[in-house]
Formats: sequence, C-alpha cells, structure tokens
Amino acid sequence: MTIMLLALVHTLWLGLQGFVYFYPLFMSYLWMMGAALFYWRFERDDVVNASQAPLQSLPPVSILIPCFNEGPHAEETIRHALATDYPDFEVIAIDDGSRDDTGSILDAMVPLHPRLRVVHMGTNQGKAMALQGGCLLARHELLLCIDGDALLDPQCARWMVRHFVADADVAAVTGNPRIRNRSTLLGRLQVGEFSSIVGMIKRAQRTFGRLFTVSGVITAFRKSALHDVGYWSADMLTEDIDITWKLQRAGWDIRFEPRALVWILMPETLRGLWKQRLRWATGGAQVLLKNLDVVAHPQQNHLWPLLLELCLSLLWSYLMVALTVIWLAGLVLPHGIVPLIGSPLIPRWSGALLGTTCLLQFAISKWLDSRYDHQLGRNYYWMVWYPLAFWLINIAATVVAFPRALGRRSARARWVSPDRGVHVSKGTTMGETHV
Amino acid sequence: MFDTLIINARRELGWQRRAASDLSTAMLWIGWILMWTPVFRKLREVVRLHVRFELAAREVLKTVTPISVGHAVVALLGTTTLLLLWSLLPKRRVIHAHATLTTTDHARHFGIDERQVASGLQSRICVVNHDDDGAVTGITPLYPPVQAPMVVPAPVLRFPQLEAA
Repeated sequence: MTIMLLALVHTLWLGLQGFVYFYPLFMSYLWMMGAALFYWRFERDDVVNASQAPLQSLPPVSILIPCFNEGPHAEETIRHALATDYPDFEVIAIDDGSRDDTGSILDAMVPLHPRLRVVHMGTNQGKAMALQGGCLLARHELLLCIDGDALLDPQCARWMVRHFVADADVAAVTGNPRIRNRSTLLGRLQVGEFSSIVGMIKRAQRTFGRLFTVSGVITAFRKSALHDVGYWSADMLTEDIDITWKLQRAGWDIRFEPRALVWILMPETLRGLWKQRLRWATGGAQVLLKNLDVVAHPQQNHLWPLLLELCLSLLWSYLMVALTVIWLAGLVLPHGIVPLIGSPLIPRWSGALLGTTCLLQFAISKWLDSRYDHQLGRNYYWMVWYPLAFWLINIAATVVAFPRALGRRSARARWVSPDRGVHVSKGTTMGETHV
Repeated sequence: MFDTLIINARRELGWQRRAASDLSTAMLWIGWILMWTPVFRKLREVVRLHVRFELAAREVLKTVTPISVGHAVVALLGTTTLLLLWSLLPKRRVIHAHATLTTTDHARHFGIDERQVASGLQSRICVVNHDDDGAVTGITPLYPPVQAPMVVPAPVLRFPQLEAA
C-alpha cells in the first residue's frame, strides 16, 4: 500500500514537472495549428483590396476615441481617424476630464473638421465610463473604438464593417494592433510578441470558437449588442476582456480581422512594461473569477475551452514558480531535504526544443503578418530571447495579480496608461503621465 | 504611410542607453547560443564517432521528450480535432440580433431625459456630467450654440380615488 502510494506520488511529481516543461510547448504548437487553419479558412483567398467594396453597402460608423491626458498624441490620433477611407463616418473624441491641454486641443479642431465631435466628461470617470458617454452620443449603430494614442489605418473601418453587414449576430470585431516604437530592445521584443503571440493566439482562438479578449486599442462594436449586455463594466481593470466575455456569454459572436490595422505605442521601460502586464494580468484574473460559473451553463459550452486554458495557464505559472523555488532550495539545502530537479529556467535539451519551437513560431508569424507589417523580419534579430524575457515577466505578473484580483473590492477602474516608449522628436521616454 | 509611422529614435538615445541595449542584446544572443550546447555536443560526438546521423537524431528525440514524437503529434492533432468539433456543439445564440435601438432606449438605460440626449446628438461639443455613483446626470451642448430644449412639464398623474381616501 505504501509502495503504491509512493509510486502514485512519484508519478504525480513527474507529471507536474512534465506539465511545467511541456505545457508552453504544446500550446505553442496548438496556436500554430489554429493560426494556420485560420489563414486557410479566412485569410488565404481574401486578397482583394477592401477599397473595392461597394460604397452603398457600408453602413455609417462612429469612431470613438476616449482620451485622458493625451495632449502630445491627441491631434495626430484625430487626424488619422479623420483620414479614414470610408463613405459615412463621424469621429467622437471623448475627453475624460484630462488635466492637461487635451480638451482645448480637441475643441480647437472641431471647427476645422466637420466630421469631428467632442464629448467632455464633467469629471474624470475612467475609460469604461468615457466609452459609455461616447456611445450614448454616437449617431450611428456601429462604433469603432480606438485608444487616444492609436493611429488608425485608412482601410480599417471597411475591413471591420463587412463582418457586421454579413452576420447580424456579430457584436464586435477586433483589429490587428502593430507597434510603432522600435527604438529599444523592449520595443522590438514587443513587435515580435504582437505578431508571434498575440496575432497567432487570436487567430487560433477564432478558429477554435471564441476569443479570450478583444484588443482594447482597436475594436468595433454593434451598439445594440453593447446595450443588450449593459455596456462596459466600470469596475473591471481591463474593460476589453470583460466586454468580450459578456458579449460571448449572451450568445453574440466576436471576430478577429487581421487586416484592420492600428498603429500603437507600447512601453519601452521595464517599469512601464511591468505595470502594464500587471494590470492586464489582474484584469484577466478578475474576469476569470467573474466567469467561473460558465461551467454551470451548458449553453455556454463554447467558452469552456477558453476557461480551461485560463485555469491551466494560471496553474502553470504557480507551478513554474514552485519548481524554481524547489530547484533553488535544492542548491542551497543539504542533500535529501527537497527533491533534486533541473533548473526550470535554464533548460537542457528541452531548451533546444523550446528554441526550435520559437523559431518555427516566428517563421509562421512572419508568413502570416509580413503583409501587414513589412519590417517584421528585421526585428527577429532581437526576438530570439523573447520566450524567456517575456514569459518571466508574464509569470511574475500572473502570480502577483491573482491574489490582487481576489482581494480587490468592487471599485471604479481609473485610467492607468503605460509609458509610451521613446519619443522620436526629443529622444526621451514619455513618462508615466497618467494616474 | 507605413514607414512614416514607425518610431526608431535609437540615435537620439544617450550613449549609455544604447550601450546597455547592445550589451543586453549580446548577452541574450550568448544565452541563446548556449541553449544549443547539448545539440552541439551531440553533433561533435556524431562526427567523432562516425555514428549514423539518423540514429543520433532518434536518440536525441527520445531524450528531449518524455513521450514519443508520434504520441506528441497524435496529442496535438487530437486536441485540434476535439476543439474544432467542440466549436460545433449547440450553444447559446443571440435571438434578437436584428433589434434596432432608439434614442429613447439609450436614454432610458442611462436614466436621462431623452431631449438632453437629442440635443447632445445635435451638438459638436458637449459636456456629460455624472454623479458620484457614475450615473449620467445631464448633457450640456456647448457648440454650435443651440437653444436649450423646451422643458415640457411632465403630466401630473392624479388619482382622485386615492386623494379622496
């Protein structure tokens, strides 16, 4: 009996180690398969330029741009949005009680641009509430929401709207964010991340059924669908993940459109990156806790694989930390106290497998995304170490975030914008301008 | 358009930041190459001992994964198939997707007077005010100057029976 128990414990121990080492690899191959299937099903034949779509079939669109202290970026963002190649649209800039000159910059642009409208929040309310305000005053049924520092591709609206026209149960279409700032190693690593991880996961998730989240920086919504689920939640740290789950739980469909491009700024300091990832991880954990009851609703079975993946990723992060601690303890403690294991951070043969997988994933992402981002190949010189650099940050963020999400009381989420990388004109870091 | 959007201000960074970036990149590359050490060692053995490459590759694959490559491929294809089949299961679908909403619906949801929403819709600059709980309390159009909407007194519902009681 004791031997059987010991054998069981030993098997379980080996299983846990195997899970920690090979779960990321398995998921990586699964994403590659899913992304390749997405390309084969949705992207392969679609080479016709969107500008050739018949104009009369395109319904009008309201472009919503919530801004908070976006003085340095507001005008550029609005000008790009106004340059959208679309027959009928309006741009609504929402100034959420900015403390800088954002409001006056926006107001000064209104008389010059007939399509531009500005909505001021009397006091700062947070992004979710700003979006709700813009939604309330939008004249059109389709809303294209982008961030205050995001530059919209002129064809973006056309690519997104066709999904709404084709299917009445499409509630949202999320686009393909591409990173602008590539001055530092961190910036270039993130270029690779958005191609080889974010774009690939979105494609794979769409192939297998449902998206974990839309990109808050670029998503088009159907207003009636938002109304159906009670709009964005003001108390969630990541309103984009939350609205994705609310819509999908209500039976609405959400699409990913890789041709709908938006050019964004990302953090180029470790501190800025850490703050951003911690907020994303805490928001993700909040949504996980809020939606655990999905398993009790058989009609929402389409979300079960997503929930399982979320739980496994969380478990993997904690096990990775546990194995690292056991490995370190084994190095310093006398022999026999803790089981001796190899380093989970400095793998031996599995490292070579990880490296091969990573190169393969980069190659597939280049094949998928180089049509949209022509300079992608150049960044691969800096991207080879991506798995360790970013997975470490993401593991740490996940492990820290989950207890934070558990302990977080229901409170209004306020603006927390990351640094925006190295500014081209001054060569200085755009600092933490937001609360 | 694409080329003008990319920000590469590396030359404008201080030499310390550039040096730190170069050093980090070099260290990452050294780490990357070291990661392949077991492969290089095995290759050296293969060459030195004149072992058939195919046999060495099989041995390596056995070392790398706890399960065989065949099993790994079956697991991957099986999971992919299962997920694709899962997505075909009957699930909740929205049944009122064609519903169109009016200003009244939106105003009612946000608990605000419909006429204020209408005047906000006509304006190009307006202010939305909220109370402490985040509820919208009013919309004030600022530009172009529009006449304040005529406030029609709400009809007072009277219940003579109750008054009499």
